[in-house]
Amino acid sequence: MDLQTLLNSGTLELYVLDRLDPDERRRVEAYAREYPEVREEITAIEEALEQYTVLQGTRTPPPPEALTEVLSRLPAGTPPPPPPADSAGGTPARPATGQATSGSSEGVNWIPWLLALALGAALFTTYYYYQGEQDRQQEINELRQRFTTLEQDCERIRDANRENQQQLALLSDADTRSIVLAGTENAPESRAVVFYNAVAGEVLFSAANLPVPPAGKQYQLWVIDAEGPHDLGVLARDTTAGTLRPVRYVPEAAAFAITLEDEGGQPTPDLSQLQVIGEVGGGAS
Amino acid sequence: MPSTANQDNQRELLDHLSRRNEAGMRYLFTHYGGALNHIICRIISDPEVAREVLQDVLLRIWQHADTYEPDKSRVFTWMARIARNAAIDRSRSRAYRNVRKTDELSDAVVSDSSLSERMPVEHIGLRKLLDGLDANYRSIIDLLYFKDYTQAETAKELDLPLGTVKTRSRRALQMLRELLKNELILLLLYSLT
Repeated sequence: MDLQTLLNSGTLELYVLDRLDPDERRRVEAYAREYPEVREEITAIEEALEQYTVLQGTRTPPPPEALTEVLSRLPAGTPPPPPPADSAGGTPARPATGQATSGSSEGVNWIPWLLALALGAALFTTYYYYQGEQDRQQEINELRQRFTTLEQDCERIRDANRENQQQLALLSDADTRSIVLAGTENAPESRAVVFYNAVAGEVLFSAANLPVPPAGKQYQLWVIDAEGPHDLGVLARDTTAGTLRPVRYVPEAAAFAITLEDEGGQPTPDLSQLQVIGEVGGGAS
Repeated sequence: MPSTANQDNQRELLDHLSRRNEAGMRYLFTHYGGALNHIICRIISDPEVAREVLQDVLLRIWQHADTYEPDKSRVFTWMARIARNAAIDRSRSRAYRNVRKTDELSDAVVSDSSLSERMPVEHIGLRKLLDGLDANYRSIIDLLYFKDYTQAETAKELDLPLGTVKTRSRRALQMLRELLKNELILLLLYSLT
């Protein structure tokens, strides 16, 4: 017989139901030995009937006396074990008392286990969520800190950008004149640039090429007009080339110069230490 | 999951039986007493006689556990067969035959179809299952499995052509399996309450 036909014919069902004649039964057993799928199908049928019967049996619990009777008829020689902990019975002679069992008392035995399991699960879940909560709190704090840092960065960049834009506006202004401060004999290689806008009244300074001053010395910037030199402040020792620095505007400036002075600067320039100088020039500003 | 649970039950039962101690008998009684009793009561209507048969069956299972052949059937199938054969033997040895058979059958089928109404709440899972199982399918399982009916007798009783008993059994079992699969978790929950 074709295997699929056998599986679908109902023969296996009748086999499990014990309703086949001996010849047919032997044939099925031979198939079951040879084909695992036949064996599996038989087992599945058996399981279904088993569950069905066990369920039906919950309606027909055997009388508890039956157990007492049967236990008393057990052959001697097999030592009776100590009564199980969950047995409510007193003496071994009447062990069934209080254990008049059916499906429902089986349920009772399971309840502590289920409760323990549920409690365990609940504890685990609580712990799990507590841990998760801790982690999340820490994460939130870290993120908050990072956000603050980024916010500060952003503010700094915005300020720098605004300044850059203002400087750029000044540099690209037609009224701005760029004055190159060329090196003197003291420092022939040194260079600096001043952007001077008489209309806007603004001045930017940039050190193009100034060597690091010797120890104890600092560069000091001067503006020279009809009245003589005016102090525009000292340059930080680490002034780098290309950095634009706004300086005080002095109207009618004739020239800008840098001298090398003692650290902190001097009220009047030491012209023997003149490093660079550039004239504003006579052209209209 | 159902089959795994069954496997475990089966292993535990065999474990208990192999020790041949009192605890084994208790286990057998607690877990399978109802089912075996059900099989017996479907054939023997007298409660006293049914109880005697059940006791005999329990002892026989306990004593002959070593004759069970695991590669031939599940242990429950083996036990159910012992129970049914014992009940049938007893029914034949007395004045149960002929008259009884038809009486009981109609009792069984009729009472089963009215089960739904009179079943107590704790059997609600079973009730759902039986409600789901078509009456025709239920009676073919009952006749073949719980009663001593041959294929021919079943065909006659249910007014079926002989050839369709097999296919009807197949369909009945398929439907039962389907229902059990769907309802098992629910049934387990019910049985725990």
